[in-house]
Formats: sequence, structure tokens, C-alpha cells
Amino acid sequence: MNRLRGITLLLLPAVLAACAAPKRPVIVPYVAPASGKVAKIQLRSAALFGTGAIFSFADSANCSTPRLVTSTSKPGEALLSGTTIPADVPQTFLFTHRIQAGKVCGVLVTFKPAAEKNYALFMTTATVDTCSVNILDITDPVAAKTEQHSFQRRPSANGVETGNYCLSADIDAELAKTRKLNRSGMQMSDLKSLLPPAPAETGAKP
Amino acid sequence: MKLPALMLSCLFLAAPTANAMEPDQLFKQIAPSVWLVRTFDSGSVPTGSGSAVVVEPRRLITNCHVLSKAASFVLVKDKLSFKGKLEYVDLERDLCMVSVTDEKFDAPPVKRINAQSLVVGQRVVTLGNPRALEMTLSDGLISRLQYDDDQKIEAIQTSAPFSPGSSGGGLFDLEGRLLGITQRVAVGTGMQNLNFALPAEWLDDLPARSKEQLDAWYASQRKPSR
Repeated sequence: MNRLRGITLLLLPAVLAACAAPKRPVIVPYVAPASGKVAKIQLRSAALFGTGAIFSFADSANCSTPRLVTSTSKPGEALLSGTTIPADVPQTFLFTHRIQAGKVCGVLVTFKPAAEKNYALFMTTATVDTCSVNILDITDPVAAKTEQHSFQRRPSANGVETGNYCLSADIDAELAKTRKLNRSGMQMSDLKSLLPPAPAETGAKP
Repeated sequence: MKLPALMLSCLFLAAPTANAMEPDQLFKQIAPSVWLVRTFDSGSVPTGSGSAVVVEPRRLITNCHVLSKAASFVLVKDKLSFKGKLEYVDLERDLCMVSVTDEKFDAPPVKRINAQSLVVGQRVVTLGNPRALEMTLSDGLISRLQYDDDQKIEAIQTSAPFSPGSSGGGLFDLEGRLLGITQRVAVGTGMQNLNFALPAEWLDDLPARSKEQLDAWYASQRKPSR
């Protein structure tokens, strides 16, 4: 329990940055569903420079109620865990990598697991600047393939940025729009200052 | 296999590309087309740097993440600096095209080659600005080709080293033709020299994909907030 408390304090800035909830989130351990449709998931990273943790959210659309799925206890370890998750409903995970005090990168990833499938989430890069996640459908391990409908976003570059990147009016619509993993790990709003102004709305289309 | 056939095979494998250049010649040819991107926040404070390659007259390709959260950016080479403008955005592929309106910008566009013709083991070079160290040339091999579900190359893995700031630079064959846009490095304990570039022919899809993504974003901005 002491370890969980330590992790909670350690990673609180990242969780707060990821989901700027008005209240300080209470982080409890993740508990796999006991019934209903489920999928299996493996959560992995290479050995990290610092310490890492993976959270899932009870409310995937709003990133509320973070639950700790797994974490490393000291630098140099890899994230290595497996569990079951509810299927046929969107699931959001937050990967965090804390390299040193004030240097945290995180990535939020959302996808909709299908029942009876087996997935693997890999944190593919783990520097202060870039954290990204690959999701593979490994139901057939020999023919593992990238999950086609997922989206990820970086809540912060260094753990200091705030803003609710999870809030989504229609998470299903967001997932449907995605064709591939977002390689940039960005949202269009990250280029807001550089984008040309929105074209003026024209009359009704025929 | 008979000896003459074996010798011919060996000769073919060892033969350089038809118009392969020596590294110094290659650098001379492609260097004018690779620029440093310097980004600034709204207070004109430098926030980061990357690379960009001239692919059309006064138009350069870079990675979108190079421009992330920037309020403005310039293209820099030697002591020249030109204000840049964002033209096309494909966040899903991390490709952004930028332009320079100043007609004094006369850097030559590079030639391109379809990455689908690549083979593992082929020699390549990268040119970019790692850590803002302007115009750093490195060489290596095509280490692996990553295919999508349609059996088209979606990532070019190379042993030619990248570093932060290399993003948006060019991966070239020995004839100086652009094969890919250097994008990311897999890092972590136990990983070495795993560098990835995006196939150059994705540039052809950029205007249409940019329109689609921007239209969706502008539409989402027009929706009343909850």
C-alpha cells in the first residue's frame, strides 16, 4: 500500500496534467472485470530511463477515476503486465514516464477492444519529448497487426502543461475517424497559431 | 549455381546504384535543399528546431511535431532566414508542408523516388539538423521495411542515425533522391540505432488528406461547446 501511495504522489502531476479535473484524482488499483464481455491486454515498454506507470480510466471519455494498472518501482525497469478489460466499449489508458523531477512525458491512448480479442500496448518511445504507444491486435500472435481504430494524444511535453485532453463529446465518432495511429501524437489545436483561418461558411450545399 | 552465374550475381549485388555519388558530391547536391526549422512562441522566444526539405519551389516538407505549439517559425540556412507559412497538415502521418512567400527563396527542390522500390540493405544517407547542428550528413542502410495491411511501405527503418532536430530531414539514396522524411527514433535501454522515416510518396496524398483533416477540425470548432 505504501508503494501505491508513493506512486500516486510521484505521478500525480502527470495525471493532473492529463486530465485537469477540478478535484485531485484518487488513484486506486485497477481491478479486472469479473463478468461481461472482456478482452485481454498485455502492457509493455522497453526498459525505461526513469520510472513508468500505466493507468486506465473508469470513465474513458472524460478521463475520470484513474486506476493504476501497473508501474515500475525504479529506473531501468520495463513495464510488464497483463490483464483483462471490458470489451466493446472505448478504453483509455495513460502511460507516463517520469525521467526525473519535473520531467514527465505521458500519452493517452483510446481504442475499443473487441470481445475475446487479445491486444498488446507498447510504449514505443520514451523520452521527455515524445511518448507514444503502439496498439497491436495479437489474437493471432504470428499475424499481429496494428489496431486500426485508435487515437492517442500527448497530455504534456514535460508534465507542466495542463488542459483536459480527454474530454470528448463523442468518443465513438473520434475512434471512427481514425484510420491509423496518429504518428504525430498531436492534436490540430497544437498548430492553432499556424493554421490558416477557418474558411467562411458558404450557403447550403445542394 | 555455375561459377559464371555466381560471379554475375555477386557483381550485381555489389554494383552501386547507376549514378551513385561519393558522399561529398552527394552533400553538395542535396545540401541546398535541406533547411533548419526554428520555432518560436508568441513572445518570439525560440522553442525548438527541426529540419525541412525543399520538395517544390518555395515549398518544404517537415514533420508536424516540429511545429507543435509554435506561434511562428522560420527556415534557416547559413545566415539566411525566411519566414515560413503552414500549408498542409497531415497529423496522422506527421507530415506538414510549409511554404516561403519571399521570392528570394530559391532553394532547389529535391528529386523524389518511390519508397516502394527500396530494398533492405540499400545504402542511404540522411541530412538534417540534429540538435540544431546544421547540415549533419550521416549514412547507413535500409534496415527494415514496415508494410501496412495493403502491403505498402508505411515506415522505413534505417541505421542512418537520427537525433532530436533531425525530424523533418531527408533520407536519400546515393543518387540524392528523397526516399523518406526522417521522423522518429525508438529509444530506451537496450535499443540502438532504430530510426524511422516516412515514405516520400506520402507527399502526393498530403493536399487531400490535409483538406480532410482540416475540414473536420474547422467543423469541430464551429460546433457549440458543451
